[in-house]
Amino acid sequence: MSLLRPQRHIADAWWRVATRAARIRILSTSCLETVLVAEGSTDAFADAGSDTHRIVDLAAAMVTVPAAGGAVIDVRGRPLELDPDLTRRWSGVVAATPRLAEELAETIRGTEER
Amino acid sequence: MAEFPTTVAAAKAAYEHGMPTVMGAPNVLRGNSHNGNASGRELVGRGLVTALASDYLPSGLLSAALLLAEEGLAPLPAAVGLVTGGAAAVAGLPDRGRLEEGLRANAASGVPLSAFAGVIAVDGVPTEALTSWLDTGRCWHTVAGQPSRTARAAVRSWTARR
Repeated sequence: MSLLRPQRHIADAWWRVATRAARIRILSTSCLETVLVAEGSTDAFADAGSDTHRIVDLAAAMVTVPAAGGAVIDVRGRPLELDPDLTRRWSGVVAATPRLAEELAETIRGTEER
Repeated sequence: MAEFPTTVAAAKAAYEHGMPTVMGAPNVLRGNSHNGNASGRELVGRGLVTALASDYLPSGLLSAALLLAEEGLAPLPAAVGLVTGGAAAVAGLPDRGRLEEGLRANAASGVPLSAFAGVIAVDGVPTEALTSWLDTGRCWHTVAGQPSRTARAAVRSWTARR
């Protein structure tokens, strides 16, 4: 899967995801990383809770990824809204299935059942 | 083409003769001509300008367009059109400069992984999306509610390991 680059303040969440994925890619091009999920090249793409994503990073994925059977959600469950206010941020989770998206969000939040 | 008409009367005459008119972006940014000729802002406000040229300030095009929109001298699409479709029309290149089906793509990007992603929304609901990987030319086009033509997303390497 691909992730946004690690940042110190979300290091624990980033590491929780990295240790569960077979391979990690950091491409730093969110729009492209979402279509790589849609076409099945990667399993998932996520912002591990840093609230870096603007809606422009995720808007196209909101159409492309569900059409391919996947899901686009926010780590903290905030609805993704097409709002021209670009000060709004999200931590997008884009995954090949809705179930994987939820599992990733839980992993990032650190709330999964053990 | 009328290049930098020096008076409002000259710009009007060019317009009446169907000539495209070019003004300088630095003139627009300064608020007036540096040598006392017609004001680019005034001519744009009167709808007499087809395109802006960078003149002696190559970085001035986009800021001039945005300034015109901010100051209400032209709606944003028309202001941006002065440095895109308007410029292409003046150069005799009607097949580019506007985002329209069938026209030539014309974009520049900086790094190999650059992508363009656009979405059409109806009442806040995204309905159609196009993502293009500019370096490779690969495109993903999707219409909501229609089967995806991309390969189906699949889970391959996420592990159950915790």
